[in-house]
Amino acid sequence: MHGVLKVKTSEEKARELKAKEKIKIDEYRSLVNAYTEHRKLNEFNDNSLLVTKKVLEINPEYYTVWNFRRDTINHFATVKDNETMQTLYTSEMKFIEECIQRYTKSYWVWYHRKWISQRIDKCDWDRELKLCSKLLDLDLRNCKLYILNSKESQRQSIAKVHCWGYRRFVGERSNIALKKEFDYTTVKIEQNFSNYSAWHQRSALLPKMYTEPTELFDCLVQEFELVRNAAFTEPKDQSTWIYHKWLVGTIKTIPNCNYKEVLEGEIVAINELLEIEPDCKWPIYTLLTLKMELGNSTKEELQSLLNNLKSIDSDHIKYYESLETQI
Amino acid sequence: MATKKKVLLKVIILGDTGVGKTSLMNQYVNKKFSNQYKATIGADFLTKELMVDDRVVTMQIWDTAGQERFQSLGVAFYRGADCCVLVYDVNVAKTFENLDSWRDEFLIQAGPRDPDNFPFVVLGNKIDLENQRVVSQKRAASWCQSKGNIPYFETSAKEAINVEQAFQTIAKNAIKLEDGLVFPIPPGIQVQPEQTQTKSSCC
Amino acid sequence: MDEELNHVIDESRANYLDKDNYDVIVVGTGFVESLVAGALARVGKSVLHLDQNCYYGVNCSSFTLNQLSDMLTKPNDDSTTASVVQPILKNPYIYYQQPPTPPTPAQLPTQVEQPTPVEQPVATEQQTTTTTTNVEESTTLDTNDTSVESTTTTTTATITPVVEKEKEKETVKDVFKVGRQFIIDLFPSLLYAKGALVQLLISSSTSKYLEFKTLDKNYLYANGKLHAIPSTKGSIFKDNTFSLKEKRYIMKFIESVRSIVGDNSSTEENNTEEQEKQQQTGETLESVTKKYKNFVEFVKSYQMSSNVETFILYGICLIHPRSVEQVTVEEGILSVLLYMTSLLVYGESPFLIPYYGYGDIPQAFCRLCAVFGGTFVLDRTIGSINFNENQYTGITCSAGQPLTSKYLIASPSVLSPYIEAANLQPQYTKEQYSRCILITDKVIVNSSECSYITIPPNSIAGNKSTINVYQMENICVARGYVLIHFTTLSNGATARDDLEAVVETFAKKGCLYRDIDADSNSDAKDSRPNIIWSGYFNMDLNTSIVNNKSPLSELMPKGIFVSSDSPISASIDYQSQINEAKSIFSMIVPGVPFLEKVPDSEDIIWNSEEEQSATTNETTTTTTTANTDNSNLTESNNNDDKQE
Repeated sequence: MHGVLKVKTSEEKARELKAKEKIKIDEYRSLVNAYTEHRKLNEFNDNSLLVTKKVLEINPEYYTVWNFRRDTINHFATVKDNETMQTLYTSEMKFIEECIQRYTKSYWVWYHRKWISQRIDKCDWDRELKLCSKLLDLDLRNCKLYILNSKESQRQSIAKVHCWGYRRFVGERSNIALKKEFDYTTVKIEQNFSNYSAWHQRSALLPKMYTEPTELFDCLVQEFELVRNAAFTEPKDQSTWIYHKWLVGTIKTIPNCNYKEVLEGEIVAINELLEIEPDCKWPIYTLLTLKMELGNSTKEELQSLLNNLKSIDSDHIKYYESLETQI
Repeated sequence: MATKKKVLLKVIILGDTGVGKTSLMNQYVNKKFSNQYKATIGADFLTKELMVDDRVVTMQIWDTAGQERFQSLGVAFYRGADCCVLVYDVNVAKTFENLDSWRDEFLIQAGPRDPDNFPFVVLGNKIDLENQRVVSQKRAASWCQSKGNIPYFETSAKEAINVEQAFQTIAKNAIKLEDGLVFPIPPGIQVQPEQTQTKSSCC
Repeated sequence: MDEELNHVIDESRANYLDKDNYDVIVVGTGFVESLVAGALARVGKSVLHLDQNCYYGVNCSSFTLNQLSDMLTKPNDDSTTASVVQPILKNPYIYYQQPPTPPTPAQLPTQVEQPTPVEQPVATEQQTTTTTTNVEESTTLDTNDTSVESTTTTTTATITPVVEKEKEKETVKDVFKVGRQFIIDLFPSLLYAKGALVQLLISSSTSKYLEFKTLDKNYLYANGKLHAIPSTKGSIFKDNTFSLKEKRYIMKFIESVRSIVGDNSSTEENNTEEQEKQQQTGETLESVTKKYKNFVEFVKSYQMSSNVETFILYGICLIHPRSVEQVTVEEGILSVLLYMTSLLVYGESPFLIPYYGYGDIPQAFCRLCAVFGGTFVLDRTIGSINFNENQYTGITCSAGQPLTSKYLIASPSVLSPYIEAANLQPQYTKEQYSRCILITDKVIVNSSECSYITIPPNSIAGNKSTINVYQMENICVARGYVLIHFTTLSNGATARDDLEAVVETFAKKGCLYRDIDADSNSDAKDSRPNIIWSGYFNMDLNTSIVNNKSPLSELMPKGIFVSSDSPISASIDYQSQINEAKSIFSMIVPGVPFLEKVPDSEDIIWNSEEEQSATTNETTTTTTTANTDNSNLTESNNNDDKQE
């Protein structure tokens, strides 16, 4: 009754798959052989570019191939005119773009992009930023609220770090408006605030954007508000609390400002949070550091917070013990 | 790169039962022909990639799956068609006379935004049975002309006569429609198993 | 083939089927019937599928505006005819605004400044005759194309060319000109990205016949305002309607639902061990089901604000029977979970919308059936059912041809005489729905093409049941128009009674016209939508009571199975209809897998010429993967060329 379609058996399929794979492996081997040949002879020519490209398309982690490719390009730069080289660089950027989209987490690919982009006469930094944005958006689909396969998320976060790193590199070289970049981090944080890189980027931008102390102060107050929203939404997210720590550390350094009032406000908010989430490590820890900072709490109050931390986070008991000596 | 943008075209084949719709598709895509007539059980759609003016075009050719027999093709079949191929059998007058109603049926069901310029192609099939022919080339050609110069091909799925040329024209006209849209219709999402999804997203 | 020609010549039997014996005859191409028909053909059963209408889908169809208008003006009342032809649109009522005689350009600004121009129109001299009597002038059973034209042409005759151009798309006459471009679902619906139906479409390979769009925004109407429903962590974080504490409660509730269902995939980066410690008291679905009598009680046990409770009960849990108390703990929890798992699958919203209307979904399964040899005849139904003793033997179809089959599957409306004879009414539930279909010139919810709005009971004019509002633009709608569906369970009142006040609130007063993020006052008035056409109707839908088996079918004569005719249920997902199809399927072919995946074409062994037999084997979807690889290679080669 079920015989409407004849289907290949799994062995047949496996055999076909194996045959296909073998062809691919053979192809790769012969490419690698060709590359080794070129390298042995220090042959820097069009063909060495072609061969390395083909190898890297399959295996971008083969970093010596990237090195040899750069050697070749360096050699070309000594013998060819700039116009020719610029065309080469442009097509090289295109090639890396394809690689990056497939292998976002490969360090070598990103390194190569930096290397080439510095050689281009008029690198389109705007376009580079857009590329970063596009790649960082790709991981949005993988950052589902609760469904996170930890391996996948690790892979993603490595890719993210590379991409944000490149973004900073681009930012330094182009005269992109700080505000624009700042707004971009806001967008990324709104998408998913468990994002160390975005918060970090923010902390790097803010002091540059607001050199006037009162301006910086006002801005930091707003940042506290933002972080409070993140903390209430997900109090277990470490990246928010690390940014909070940076905010506390920065606001203190602003001369002639009433930072203590702001920190008192934070204490009130965290206490509210702890009413709902009494056993959450990060808010307790932050509360402790805030109280220590302000120095108007009794030793008993601090000790009780520390005891709480020691019981819910026994992994870091040594650290908490060291804090005990400071109170 | 921009000129090489991939295009997916949906082409549907209409016409009376038995005029050779499935055979034409099969001849074009699989280069196969079976003389034995059977209702088109199991025919769904065939996909073929081809080049049209320097562009890679994926053409999806949709069979009626036998639902044309009792005029029971649902409106879903017509959705998003880029070109409609009307087929008749040059040896059966009725199949030619019915082209009018197939064309009307298409325009009503598919409701193209610009019905006057929607690309049709007419195929007079089974010309290999020449001595039985009842519809003359002239008659067919003049019908096509009266309907806004529809391209007309005389084909034989069996002998592979004109099949390649006909489908090349079909693709070309279908792509013209896509290009000509002032407000291109945003593409829909196709739901797929997850693996395929991620695969396509990272490449 | 000659034989076939002979058939054509014999006029009286011209429409006869060549084959008069089938394994299964299915009557009605509604959702459940189409699923069963596809599944049976898929496993090699010979299927004849009939439908009394000349279109597919029965209650699960989509229509053009012209078709819908015709159906409402020529109502098909079930009391008058013996054989019931579904769908039946009861209490039809059509309303459209008479195009006002245009004010002279100088008067235009004055009109705009009026606070409620529609309710209390500015009685300029030219306007008195038309606009003040808007509601009274509306036509009830009179909107076919010609009559519309005659009523409108007289009033538009004095229009100056300039204004006419502006007003062009705002008249009924004009919307009917593009009426074919509308795809109007009798019952619009949303599909959860991870819901049962989408999963089935994928697993049965029918998804290749369909295209979708993701919903743009999902709203809850509460306290006289629209609230975008934040659902991802990011959107809760960003939301500015909930307080900090409320945000925490929502997150906490969602976390706890996940832990109750035992969904372990939830671990966020870095806090696995904390999460474990933090988990509530190790509740399970079983334990909470015992502990609380319904979902409302369960939600209330979290002691959240009433804001958050409404948000969960109506915005995230989307099962809305007559009373929220009817939602069981399990149903509610699973609905919340389904919502969460469907997020960010195809887009930020958890929902997919069929690109060309819901009516294409049964047709996808019908096509699957046809591809596997099923025969389809529309515009033909049962003339009579034939029995031998109490054993079903076949039917005589409406074309007069006697046909035999082992099984007959049809919906309650088709089998109603038999159901009545066997006194089976208690075996299915009949629900009445009120619907309004509204066409406006502008969106009611700003900045989102396709939006879904849930209006909890007692929100607008004392609405008794939850109302769903569904706004569409760009898909299923002619350019320049907006299509809005209103759906609610009816308590016996007409659709007009149930919905008119709501429609007015939305469209006429424009008071719901605001975006959460936008400051509404200033520009809202200019962009208040006008009603161009609206149609109201009620529908009665029968759902057979299914719990893994269909008791209704067991009580029918042997060989006859009854399907539900409802395309929707209290839940917006389709699990119950799919279960029903499965249960009918497995009563006919016990132990056989339901709607298995159609193998990839590359895995199918093609018969060589000589092997070809009457069985199918020509299922042909040639693979494109190989070709794609090739084209990639060519592309990269070209790049190389440029480089050198």
